[in-house]
Amino acid sequence: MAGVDVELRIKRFNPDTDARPHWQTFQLQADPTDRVLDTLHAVKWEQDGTLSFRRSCAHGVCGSDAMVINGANALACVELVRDAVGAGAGGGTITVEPIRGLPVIKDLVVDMEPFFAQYRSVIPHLVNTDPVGDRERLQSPEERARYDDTTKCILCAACTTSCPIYWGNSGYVGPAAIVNAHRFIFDSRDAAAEERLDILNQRSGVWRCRTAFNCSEACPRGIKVTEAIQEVKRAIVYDRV
Amino acid sequence: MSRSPGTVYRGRSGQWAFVAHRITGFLVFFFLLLHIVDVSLVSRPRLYDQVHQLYGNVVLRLFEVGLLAALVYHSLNGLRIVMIDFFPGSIRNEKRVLSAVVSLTALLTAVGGWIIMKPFVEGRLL
Repeated sequence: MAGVDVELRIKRFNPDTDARPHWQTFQLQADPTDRVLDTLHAVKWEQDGTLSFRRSCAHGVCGSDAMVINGANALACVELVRDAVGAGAGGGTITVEPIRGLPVIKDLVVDMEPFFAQYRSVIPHLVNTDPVGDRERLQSPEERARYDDTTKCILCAACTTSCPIYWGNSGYVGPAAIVNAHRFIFDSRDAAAEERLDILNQRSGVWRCRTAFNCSEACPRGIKVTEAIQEVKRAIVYDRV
Repeated sequence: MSRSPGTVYRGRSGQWAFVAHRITGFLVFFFLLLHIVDVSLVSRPRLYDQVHQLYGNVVLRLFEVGLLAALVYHSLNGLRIVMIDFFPGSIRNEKRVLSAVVSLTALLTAVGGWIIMKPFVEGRLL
């Protein structure tokens, strides 16, 4: 397949030398079916070894490489070059920035700790104090389907850092934490739904959501994030899971 | 190497519906403040009449058309948000509901705008 000329514009920041971020442009050739991550690798390995970004599995599973690609959140290992430069184009520009709302450490690497602290705050694990017994805790297919969508989260932070409310208010727990609370609130085996609903009923909880739908658009796993948040809101209002 | 200001996040319709809701909310609030001032002049009838005559001026009439658009959008989009809060079906059809909000806003503004601007079109006011 013929290669395309790509101009990669990257928002860079080096805390040792820069007072503020700046743009740097790199020229390279890529296959249309390359991922944006491949172009970042090409720059780091062949042009400028100081470029910093996170990636681990590089196949859309680990959730390490969420970034702002052409103005919207996506995983660099999922987004194809041909989609990023526009269909049918002989080449084009791809802009890459760090995700917003979290402190930038260097280049495309942000401090994820506030995000994970918010995740931990919603008790994102199964709580059940009943005796374990000698067999599994059974669940009907319908009970399992109730929270199926929110089991898909990979904690990449694409949803939370696309949220306009989160950019302005880092105290908001954010869509990802609510998605992971949803996953257990509606699990028939779990016993801590009430506790989680109390946490999400606080000022920093679900009521900060203004249904801008950026989170649903940004989720690389296609989770209906806004819908999950609204289900949690209704569970609080109607006091019913 | 070049320095550049921040970029605008390329959210889709929902993001712009949210931004427009905030802006129109501010505009309506701003008008309410203005309205409190002009109505409070009621104890001084001459001044009250003079100020209210200003509202007959073509620029302020156009401002009122804008205010109408802001008010209609803010009200209808508020109803859309209430629907999203209470009816799961409207979340799945959120974009269609927004299209309806925008179309109705345009329609009602056009009708109301015609009524507000009619005296100028007919040459009865300048």
